[in-house]
Amino acid sequence: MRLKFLNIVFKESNEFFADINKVLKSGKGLNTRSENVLIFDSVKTFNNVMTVNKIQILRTISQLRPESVYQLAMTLNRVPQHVLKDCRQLEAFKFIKLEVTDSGRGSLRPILAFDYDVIRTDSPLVSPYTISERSERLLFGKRVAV
Amino acid sequence: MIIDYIFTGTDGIDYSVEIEVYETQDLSMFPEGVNGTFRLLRINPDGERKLIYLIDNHAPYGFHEHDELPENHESRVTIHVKSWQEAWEKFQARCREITK
Repeated sequence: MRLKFLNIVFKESNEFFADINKVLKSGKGLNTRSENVLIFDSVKTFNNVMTVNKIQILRTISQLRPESVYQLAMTLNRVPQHVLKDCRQLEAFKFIKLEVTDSGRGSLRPILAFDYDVIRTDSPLVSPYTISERSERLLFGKRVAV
Repeated sequence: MIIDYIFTGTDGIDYSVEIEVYETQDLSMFPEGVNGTFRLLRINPDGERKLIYLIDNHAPYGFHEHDELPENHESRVTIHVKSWQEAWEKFQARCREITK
């Protein structure tokens, strides 16, 4: 089975606004939808979001599928409030979703935005991030601890 | 077309532009046959996404902006443009103003 990628594309705002203008003018591409692409204005903005802690969160969600943010925090041995804040940020940037579970306590289950294996960018300055266990096995030939 | 664009404003705050534009058969609601929305959201450090500017086009308003966001979603002001392109130009100009 092929790896699924979440692709990060970098475009400065002038370029982005001009590209959308072209699509609106031509009408081509109006009915396409690509959930596996996020566009950032710069590597700096992306790096500010994607800290080591957040990569660990994404790997743990993918590989251990925690039932709640609390369980995720316990797995990572971190303070639940801090993990919740990181999860909220990851949700805001659309890397994950937080689902309200039916436990009746308003508990939130973190899941990936879609079942991606690797986050890769179009910049040579940013190495790909392996997220799933499968991607680590295939790309590195070993299991890496989350 | 659904696109998310994330950028840091010159004010140092993170923003997201969400664009949804697609063709539709519902001509009574969308006389041009296109349903579209341009949204500007502020991403707060706690991860909250706050809608702060919006342009869309549907009956009975035509092209309009929501000018009192995030407090009041119901406030609409008609904008005098003839096409999605013109609306997009207005949207990007307003985005630049808000995020500077």
